[in-house]
Amino acid sequence: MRALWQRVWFAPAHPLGLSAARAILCAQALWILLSRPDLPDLARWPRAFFGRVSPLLPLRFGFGLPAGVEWVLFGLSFLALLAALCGLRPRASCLAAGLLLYHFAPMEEMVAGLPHTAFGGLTLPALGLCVLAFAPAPRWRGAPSDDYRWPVALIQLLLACGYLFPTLAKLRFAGPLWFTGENIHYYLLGNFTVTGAPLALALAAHPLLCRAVALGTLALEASAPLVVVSARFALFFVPAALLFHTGIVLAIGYFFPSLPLLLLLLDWDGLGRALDRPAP
Amino acid sequence: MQELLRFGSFAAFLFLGLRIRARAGAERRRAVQALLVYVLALLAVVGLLQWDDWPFTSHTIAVGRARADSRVCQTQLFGVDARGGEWRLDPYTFTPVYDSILQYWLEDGLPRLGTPEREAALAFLLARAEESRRRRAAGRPLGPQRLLGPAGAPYWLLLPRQPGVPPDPYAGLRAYQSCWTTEEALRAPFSPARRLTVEWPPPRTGA
Repeated sequence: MRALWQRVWFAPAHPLGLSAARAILCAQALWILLSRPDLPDLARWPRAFFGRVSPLLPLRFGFGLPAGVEWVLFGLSFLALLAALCGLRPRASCLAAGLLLYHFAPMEEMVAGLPHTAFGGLTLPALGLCVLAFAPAPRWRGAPSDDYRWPVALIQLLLACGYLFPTLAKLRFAGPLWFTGENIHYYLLGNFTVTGAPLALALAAHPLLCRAVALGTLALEASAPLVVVSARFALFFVPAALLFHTGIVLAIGYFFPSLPLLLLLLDWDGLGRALDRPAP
Repeated sequence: MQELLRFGSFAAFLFLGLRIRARAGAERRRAVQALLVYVLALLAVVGLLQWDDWPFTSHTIAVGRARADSRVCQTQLFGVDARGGEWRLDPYTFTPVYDSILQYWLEDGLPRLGTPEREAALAFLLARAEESRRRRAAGRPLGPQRLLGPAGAPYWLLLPRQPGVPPDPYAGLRAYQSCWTTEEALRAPFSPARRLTVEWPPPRTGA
């Protein structure tokens, strides 16, 4: 157990992993923020819209500042993300970006009490950039170090929880019968009445495919934490997850804004070492 | 109290993480281990108990069992033009608040408001709907497409986009609630009964 702990968190790793993680998290956050360019405008909405939620909820995220201040903070979040992306004062810029994302990510759902903030695409960037702020700044062409391993592994674990926890939730609230063809059949039909997903009816008409989707979902979600333990497993996991999310968009009508974060699971350590190897 | 606990859990994460930066050698390794143990324990609580502590989140979605008689309810918003014609509003009309999020508020938040607050909120929504109508009528995109065009990241729930807006301003807003079961919805022709839940401005009563 001790050896596994040591290998997962502290095996020396190439600095490319840390640099790649920073670039992927920043690019993802910039993509989402540029897709929500009027987020700070929520500060202009009447207070009546926020009466439904606990008064401490806005306080928890520093929401309730004047609109002008929100716009300045929004601008600062772009500057911090760009600085982190370019490796300028990486620890300070990662910390600033992480904290600003913690402030902005829940904003669009504040009127409803954050029912689905986890699916907005900023959760992992907010946490991951904080983790990178705790780690040493990677040096280009630096020697492999355990300091370059644990932050990347922790970010990968947080990503994997995004797959494992929905399975735990299904088991807790619906039990093992969630993973049956019949349940998938009615999920497809029920969601079709709301989203009109293009492949819902076609897929629902095939009981065998519904059963395959149910078992495939269980296998993919439950096995996700293995990506932290095995880079080889992660190489199988990434295309399977891509297929899974594409299928969900087409058959259910749920988009997964964190899709680009699957790049975090690529073997950056192996790639860095290969690049460092002198040409024969 | 729960919100304070949740804030505390994030603050503790920051404290343990920033502590690493101030340490070296074996002490540093111990500080990293403390952070890892803390995050793993927190994730175990969040995942096993399904106690959402965003950004340490339980990722709770699609957890119920679906059946033929599963009931779906939806509140649909319409802009009303000067002639009384109804136009289904695009899900990004109230950007940055998405349609499905506003539904929670319409169903649960609005009925709790007193008359002045309710009127102010509905007048605000009408003004926002009109602002979005003008924007779309001028051929400019809404929501995630505003800056990035088709590359913009949509909201996770892909509600159907509404292609048309009227050329003239909206004079009012209406919200209808409809409920149906999967079984009913798949029977053709399907036209669920809808109940008017919001009308702004309120209809004039006859003298």
